[in-house]
Amino acid sequence: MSKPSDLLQGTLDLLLLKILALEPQHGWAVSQRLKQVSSNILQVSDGSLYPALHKLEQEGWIRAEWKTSELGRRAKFYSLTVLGRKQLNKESAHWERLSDAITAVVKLSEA
Amino acid sequence: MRLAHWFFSIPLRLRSIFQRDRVEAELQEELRFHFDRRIEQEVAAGKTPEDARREAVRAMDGLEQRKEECRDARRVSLLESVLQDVRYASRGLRKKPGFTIVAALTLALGIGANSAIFSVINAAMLKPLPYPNPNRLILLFESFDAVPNVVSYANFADWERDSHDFSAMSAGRQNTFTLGSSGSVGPERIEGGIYTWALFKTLGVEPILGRTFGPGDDRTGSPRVAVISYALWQQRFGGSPDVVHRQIRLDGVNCDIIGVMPQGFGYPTRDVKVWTPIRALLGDSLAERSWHQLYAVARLGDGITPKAATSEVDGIQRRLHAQFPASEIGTGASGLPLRDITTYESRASLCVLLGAVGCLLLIACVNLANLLIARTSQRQREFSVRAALGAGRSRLIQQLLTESLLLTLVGSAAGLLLGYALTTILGAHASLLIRADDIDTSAPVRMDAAVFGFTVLVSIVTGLAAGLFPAWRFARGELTEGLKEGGRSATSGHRQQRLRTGLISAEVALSLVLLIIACLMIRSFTELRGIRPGVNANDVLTAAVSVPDSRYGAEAVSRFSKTLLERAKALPGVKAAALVNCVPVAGYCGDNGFSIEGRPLPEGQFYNALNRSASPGYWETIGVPLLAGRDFTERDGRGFDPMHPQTSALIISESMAQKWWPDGHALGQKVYFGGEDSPRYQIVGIVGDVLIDLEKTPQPTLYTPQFEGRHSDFYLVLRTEGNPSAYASPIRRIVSGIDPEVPAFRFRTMDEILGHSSQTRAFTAILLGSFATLALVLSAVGLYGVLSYLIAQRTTEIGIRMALGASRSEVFRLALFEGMKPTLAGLAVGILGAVALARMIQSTLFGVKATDPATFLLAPAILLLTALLASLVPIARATNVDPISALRSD
Repeated sequence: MSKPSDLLQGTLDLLLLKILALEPQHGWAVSQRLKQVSSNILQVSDGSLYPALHKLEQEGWIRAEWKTSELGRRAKFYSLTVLGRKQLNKESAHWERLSDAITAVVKLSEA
Repeated sequence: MRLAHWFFSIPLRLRSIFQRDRVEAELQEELRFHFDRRIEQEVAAGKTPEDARREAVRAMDGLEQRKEECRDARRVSLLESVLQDVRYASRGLRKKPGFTIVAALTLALGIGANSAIFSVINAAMLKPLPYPNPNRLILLFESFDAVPNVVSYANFADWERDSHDFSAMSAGRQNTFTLGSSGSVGPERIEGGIYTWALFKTLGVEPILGRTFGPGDDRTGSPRVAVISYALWQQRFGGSPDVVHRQIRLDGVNCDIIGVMPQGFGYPTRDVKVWTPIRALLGDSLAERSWHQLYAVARLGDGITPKAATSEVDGIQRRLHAQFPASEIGTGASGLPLRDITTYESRASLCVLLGAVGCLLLIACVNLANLLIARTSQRQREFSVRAALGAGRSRLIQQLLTESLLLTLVGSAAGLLLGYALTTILGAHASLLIRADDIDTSAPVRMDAAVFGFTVLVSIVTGLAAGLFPAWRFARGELTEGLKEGGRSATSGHRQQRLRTGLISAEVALSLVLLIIACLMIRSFTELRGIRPGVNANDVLTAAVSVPDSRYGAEAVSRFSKTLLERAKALPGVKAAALVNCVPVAGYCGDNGFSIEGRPLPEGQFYNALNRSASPGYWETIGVPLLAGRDFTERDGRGFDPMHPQTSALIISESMAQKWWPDGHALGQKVYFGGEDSPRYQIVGIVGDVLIDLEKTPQPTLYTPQFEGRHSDFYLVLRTEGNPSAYASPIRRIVSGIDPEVPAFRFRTMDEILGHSSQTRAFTAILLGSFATLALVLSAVGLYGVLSYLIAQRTTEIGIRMALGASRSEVFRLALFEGMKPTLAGLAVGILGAVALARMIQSTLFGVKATDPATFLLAPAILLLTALLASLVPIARATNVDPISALRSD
């Protein structure tokens, strides 16, 4: 039960975009940050993180560049593009609508 | 949005393709970074380095698969992987040159043969005729009790006047003219068309210069005019624009040139170079209603169906038949689409050829599929390993398809080249295949856009059919099987075997059908060559001579004939010489109605026989026996005084004597042509039958004396010492020495004429024979491949059997049975198929029945022998299996 139930389809994109919107980061940092902010509830397996990042890059929502990391080693840093910000806004709005709807349903008082 | 997306992704994707190594290295580094951090983290949490590493790997959840997923995310999914597959496939194909060459060659042969035969069918049957709205053009025939026949001018004139369903119609025929000499160019024979004025209007073709005929050009006594072809305009007039109103000399008469037709136009055949109005040329002699000589072509009026239009003409002809009971005229009329006339005779054999190459292509397809399946199953383990390493099933199928498509591409390219070469060869012999008679609307046979497109289409279909099948089978299979079974197996899957032996049976069946059809065609040809035409063909030369009617009367023609014959006989080396107006085995030439004195027929009815004229000595020259009576003499003939004709002489053929005088009293009987008061011809001799065509039975034939001078187109026939062809130029000199405006032409030896008569069959037989041989080779290759594979699969089993005491002869039987089972099944199916098919092509055979027992025994025997030969090596391999090494081999 340590792992959360499967992330909703497409939610991973939203999470990654949001995290990268805060500051450019490399993959490892993204995975740590994700764990951290969600208090270990949202844990993306190392395996699925990178294909997802590569897909976002391919879509043009994030871009990658090689920079020296805090430890002095070269790492691939991802940052949000203009397109990515638009996409983030779109997906956030979508998510809020969806979550409001689900919350409303869950909170239905039983008669 | 989409555009912006492409703006970002395209450079990235291009980078993925063109800087593959760099992108790959970056992926490696990125993951390595993550990996190291993870290990650090775990170690910091107190794990041993080994445990930390293990944990990092586990967290990745399949490193190689994840890498592949990343690559997938970056790929220009199709292009990139296709390029990769192509690289991989071409490496694989290069590594197995034997397989690649056999497979590509198989395809090339199948595709090339189809391309070539299609080019002929395209030219003869499919290409639209080069006239506007060609489907509105039909040919009209005067029919005698539903048998179509050519029409007479007088009847046609009534059709044209009384019908309303046509926008235009014209009747006429091909006619060879002597084109007068000009400058240094001597007289020349050219093909021409003589038609009623509306020919060009009917076909809907406009001249590029001047005008075509109007009604005023086509009356008895109209000034003589001519329309010339583009080719003649270029050759004789150097393409000069002032050619209109210049003159051209046809058969000794000057004609005004009024127009030039566009390049490529030719009717009724492509080589026609000049057209003149028929009525202006032949005058009132056309009035005879029974003078059946012309082909009528008509353009349907708007909205009129061919059926309605034909029945209108049929009605008119029926009325004419009732109106003129005394004339020998058609009882009705019938129609045929213009496009169908060209292949009227050859449609069936062209279809046989198309069927044969189709069969060949199927065999090639089956063979290729078989080769690919064999290759796929040999690589089962490779695929399983790749699947285990993260390759998706669709990715593997895509790769299999790429490989077969690449193979198809190579094969098709070679097939296209082969097709081009074969098309050129067939183009040079197109007349043998198309066999157009008086009307030839076929286009030149060549590799054009349509043929090219067809070839490409066939290639794609073949590649997909042959390549998809193994891929599809692969897709249904269990990928991991390869790992499980590939290791140690005594036998391979039964389904797999059944499929491959099934393919072999199909291949054998198809080959047998093809072989039987080819054998029947070859037998037809040999039967034809065995026909005795009734003449002695050795050392005989024939030369055509055409004396212009316009300047020569009967007496002059007679004098010319005698002079020519005297001079020809005087040539050193000439053993015998004679004149005749129709060379044996060279065609029909004409028939004539006649009456027999003392045997009156009802008014308007005549007996009918082939009609020739000959000089004394003709039969001796050509080697035809004189069976009874005597030869002509110089004095035979009805004389040149039309008021007081003498009784002339007549020689008849054996079949004519038997038909009308079966009791043997033909000699001395009198016949006449035309009315009761026509000059009489007394039968003075009976000669052996000669054939007009090797494929036809002898027909009653009568000969009138050539020295009567009534035939101005005739042949000089020489029996010579040594090579007859050497006498052509002395003959040409003799003829022009008598009259420089008279050409001698169409020099052919009798051997050539006989050869020509069977050439069509020879050519068809050669083509089909080659196709069948190819089919045999392909089947043998297929059988060899499959059998080798099956034996190899069963090596372990054979080893066990031998270890358990099976003798070599038992193993031999086992292996033989393995190969013969699918062969025999294929033969059985093939024989059934061939019986059904051969019946359908009976009409194209000659002298041999569709179910010819010899063929049906020989062909399966040949195939069986081929199959045995193909199995020899694999069988030997099976019997030489060493039980110890076979058991150890896995």
